[in-house]
Amino acid sequence: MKKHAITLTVNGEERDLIVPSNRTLLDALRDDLGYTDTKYGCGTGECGACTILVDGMTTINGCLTLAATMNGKSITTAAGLARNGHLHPVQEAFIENDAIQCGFCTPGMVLKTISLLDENPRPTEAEIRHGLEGNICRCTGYTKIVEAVQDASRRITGSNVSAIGE
Amino acid sequence: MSEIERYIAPNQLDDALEALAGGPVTIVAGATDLTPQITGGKRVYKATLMNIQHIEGLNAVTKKDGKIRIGSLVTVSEIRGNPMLKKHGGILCQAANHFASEQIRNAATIGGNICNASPAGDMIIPFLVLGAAVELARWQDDRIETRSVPLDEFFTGPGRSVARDDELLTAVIFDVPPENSIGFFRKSGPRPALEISTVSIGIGGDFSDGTLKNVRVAFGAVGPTALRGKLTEAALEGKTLNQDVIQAAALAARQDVSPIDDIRATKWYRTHLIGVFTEELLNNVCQN
Amino acid sequence: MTENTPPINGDIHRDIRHDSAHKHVAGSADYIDDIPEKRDLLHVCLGQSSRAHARMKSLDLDDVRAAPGVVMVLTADDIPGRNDVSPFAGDDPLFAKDIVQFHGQSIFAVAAISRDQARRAAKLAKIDYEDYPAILTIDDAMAAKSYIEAPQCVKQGDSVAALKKAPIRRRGCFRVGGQDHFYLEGQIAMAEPKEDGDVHVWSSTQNPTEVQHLVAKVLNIPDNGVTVEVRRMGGGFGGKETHPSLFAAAAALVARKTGRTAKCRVDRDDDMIMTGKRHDFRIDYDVGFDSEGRILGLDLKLASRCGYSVDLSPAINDRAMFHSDNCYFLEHVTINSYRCRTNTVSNTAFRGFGGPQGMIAIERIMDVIAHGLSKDPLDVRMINLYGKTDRNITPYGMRIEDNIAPELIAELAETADYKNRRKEITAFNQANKYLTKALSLTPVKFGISFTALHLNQAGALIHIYSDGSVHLNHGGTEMGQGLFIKVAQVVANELQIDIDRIKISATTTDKVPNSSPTAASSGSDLNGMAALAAARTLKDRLTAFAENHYDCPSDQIIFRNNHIYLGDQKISFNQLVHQAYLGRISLSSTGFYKTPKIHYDRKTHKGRPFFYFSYGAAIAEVIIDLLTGENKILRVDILHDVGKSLNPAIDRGQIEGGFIQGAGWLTTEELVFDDKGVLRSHAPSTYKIPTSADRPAQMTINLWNGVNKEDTIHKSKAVGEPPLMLAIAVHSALTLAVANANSNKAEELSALNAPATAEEILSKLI
Repeated sequence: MKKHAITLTVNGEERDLIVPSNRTLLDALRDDLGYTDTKYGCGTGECGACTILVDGMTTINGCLTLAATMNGKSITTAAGLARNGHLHPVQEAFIENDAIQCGFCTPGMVLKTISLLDENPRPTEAEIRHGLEGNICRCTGYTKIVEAVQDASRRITGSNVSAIGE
Repeated sequence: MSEIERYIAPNQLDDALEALAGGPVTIVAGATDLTPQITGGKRVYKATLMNIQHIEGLNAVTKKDGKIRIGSLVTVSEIRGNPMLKKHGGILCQAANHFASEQIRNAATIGGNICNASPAGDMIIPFLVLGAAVELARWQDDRIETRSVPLDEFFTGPGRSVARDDELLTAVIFDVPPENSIGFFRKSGPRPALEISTVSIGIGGDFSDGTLKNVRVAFGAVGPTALRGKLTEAALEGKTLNQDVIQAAALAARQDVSPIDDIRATKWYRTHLIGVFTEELLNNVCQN
Repeated sequence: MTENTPPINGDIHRDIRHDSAHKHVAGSADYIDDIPEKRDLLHVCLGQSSRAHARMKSLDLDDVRAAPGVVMVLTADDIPGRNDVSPFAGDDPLFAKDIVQFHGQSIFAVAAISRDQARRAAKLAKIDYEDYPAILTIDDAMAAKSYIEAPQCVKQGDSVAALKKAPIRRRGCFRVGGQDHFYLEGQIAMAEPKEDGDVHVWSSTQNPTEVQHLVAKVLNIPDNGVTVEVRRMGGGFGGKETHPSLFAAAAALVARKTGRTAKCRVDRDDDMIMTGKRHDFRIDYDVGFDSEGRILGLDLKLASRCGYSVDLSPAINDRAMFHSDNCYFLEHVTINSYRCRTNTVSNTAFRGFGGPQGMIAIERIMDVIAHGLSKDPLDVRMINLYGKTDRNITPYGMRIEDNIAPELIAELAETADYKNRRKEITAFNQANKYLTKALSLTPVKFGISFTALHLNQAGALIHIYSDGSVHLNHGGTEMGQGLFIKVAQVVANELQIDIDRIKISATTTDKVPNSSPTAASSGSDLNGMAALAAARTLKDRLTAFAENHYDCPSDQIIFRNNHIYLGDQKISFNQLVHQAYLGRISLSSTGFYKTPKIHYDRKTHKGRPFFYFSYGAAIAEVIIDLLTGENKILRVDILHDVGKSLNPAIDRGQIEGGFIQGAGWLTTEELVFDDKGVLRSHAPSTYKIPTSADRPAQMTINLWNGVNKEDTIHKSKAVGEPPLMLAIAVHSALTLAVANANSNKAEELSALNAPATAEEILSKLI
């Protein structure tokens, strides 16, 4: 298999690596670079456990993306969200709203929420549920996750989220 | 199992086309269809893997001389958020809204969705309704040669199209719809998004004084390819919409399609839904 | 002196965060695939059968061996010990030999340098099959009398006579589909060879002890040569009770044969194809009742698809029989249970363990009776409830002593405004041509204890180090349900120290041996009690030491908020521990617990299999689109009994999650096997588990205000499985919605099957 030298900036750190052409970004992050906070769930882009942020706030599935095509890109994983030892408000909201059970979906869910709130800082309940569709959680039934996103919205905007919509 | 011998990521279209002319190439952009097909064993890599994401000029949406041109690298997310398309090709945005998840919309390109030629390809339906054509480019006699193929003549079967191995889909082009045009999209599945359609349908045309003209109807997941509903169109063309016409169109729609039983739904259910959705969308048109 | 002391951090009966929550959001919680790999680690992939039932005329693995990166290929002939990874019946080969019994059965293992190479190589096997007739469906198996064990029967009274006499009688049949666990973290195991031929196995398992036993048997070494460890799973739901052994044994065998660490991380598709699921059922009923709706006699047939081997199917189907009464008194009842052997993957434990399938049977019957009498189904349910002092013997002969169903149902109906909303729905349905709503209340009574008596035991191990920090270990496993934090709360409360001084540690068979699976909702009940016993032993030793050392009568020694009060004196916990250490007091203790009162005779199916019952009830309001069958849960109200909760926040999470998982089972999650026995829905693109968009917009959950009558861990009740069955309200409501739509057209209630997909619903509309 042909291999390529690529450079990725992961959580602010520039990393050089050599990958086979068919290597997914998920495998490169996990197996080559040790960012095991990005999870393998289904390998077909349906579960969202491998969600990462690219070049700012764009979410993609690491399991579908070929690493070779990401040369030069900047990637954020859940491990890269804390600043000066403080968790991101979305991370705090997930903890404090008990939006976590087995935790396997959590890193992807947190990243997806950050992207969602970046685009729409005061989402309605319906917008939250629609926005998180690409991230499956098998444990929580989503109730506390939705509450965590609403709480995170309050933390970020310093105000009440809009009323429950549907 | 074949091996990738070469990986290239050209910046220029002519380099890409030269590579295509030179031998078997797997084209990759967002990889949202390609990767699951490879891991699922439905497809194998060819000797050259070509990443087309860096090719200049394929990622723009433009409106010029009465035509809208969408570059093949434009993502579904970009379609979804494009204000000009919302105004002139709203049905595209409707379909983009119901397309998979945000993560996939951010990576999936229009070119990929069309070239994948899935009978259930969600973005194909609105383009069929808009009467779009695809632009195919290839390297011929040391220069770029292009041809235009109407989208409804593009597909030849599941995963198959008239595009030749040395051709690259560079854009989808359609006439700017007139002011009085309408377009509606509907799909069905156990849930609204993140779903490969059980069936999907689009209806569009010019609508004034209660009458539809230049009608185009397209169906997804009810045959070997996404298809135009010619009988339905005939049942509607030039007609003033009323319940009789709508009922006749719904009946025609059921005759237009030839679905199969598969894991997602039975032929019976798909045929039923096509009739129901035809009626529903035409009622939407009336209320518009 | 101690009365005004504030409580410790992390006390019982409080909302305490999951212990790993911080690590989960920061991405630093390690699952097995996150453990740094040894440089020479090998990846293991299993080669699978492509036939449902066949003899392998030849097995040519030359191309597999020759594939790039392949280091070793192993078949049944390479197993030094027993070729079996079954929980007890001895009928689940690690590698099929000669005969394959389902599509996807493991035949060989390939170990390669990379996962990709192993996966590709596994596809290169050349196998020549001679096909045998395959029994795939329940109906096929029933016709062929193909069972994994003899049909079982639970009987009370004389249902034949009662049915004959009954003024009204209804017969019917419906089907309930299976369910894939879809734990987000798939099956995975990693095995590292150790000296003396030992092996250390990290396995994503709810049942480390069983993995230990089976790996040892496969390797032909004693149990003490195998250590199995699991810190956490990314979900289990029963799917990691028996099936992890297959992958752990394959990895362990490769590790032993190659001397290299071996990891088997199973692809999602392979996981769905190779591992068992919730049993699908065919339910036949013949019920007689009076004009009030009271059941006079019931003849129930439950037939389930067990798959090719026994696995846990006997106990699962027993539990289905034991929950066919749910909350209702069945004076004259016969329940016949058929455990069908089919050439499909061996079905296994899944949250509820057969209980949900039994329960949905009787709930359907309630709706059938109500429909036949044009009554409110809730009235029919109420009239059939178990009594408090009479009408309180279950079909399996257990007297119900803790019945709170009548009050609980009444309270929920009141607070959720059931009666008025039912009227509003009738009005809505009259005004709408293409949309129909319905509302249903269904209760849950779920028996707590393993029906296999010997499993109702647990062990724990607590060390107090000389600095006063505490190490906690027990046989229970953490799969996200919050067991570890609950047990830590119990220990914190007993020792009266802040919870952050307690180190929660990975479950491992070399600390607590002979553990039972973390299953049957029993995790906190069993392990909480075992940990309490260990903590009490240590506290007693410290108290005895203090009595001497500080010359204070033991009745004046009080542990309170990180301190010990000795009459007028007060010293810190750390000080006492350090003094006790210097005083040569053992600061390590095990604890043990076995559930009292339970007994059961499987021959007669009579006894007291359950220590107590957990109760709950749900009201679901649904809407269906009559043109497409598309449907939606509009609103859910739940009142659920968790006794005196150890941790209400964690318990609520179980209720919410269990409900949605149950709703998925009954609405969108459809397992499709084709006529060759191939599972066609083996990926999330075709197997639809609920997403956030499927969650009802309105969901109200309340905890029942009560305590467990039995002496459980701080009077709490088990919560893992029971809430899943609250979702039966959704299926019942959909059934009633179909009935509403068909009213005036159909005399009988439509036999809506599960899952009630849009297509299934539409097919039942007339």
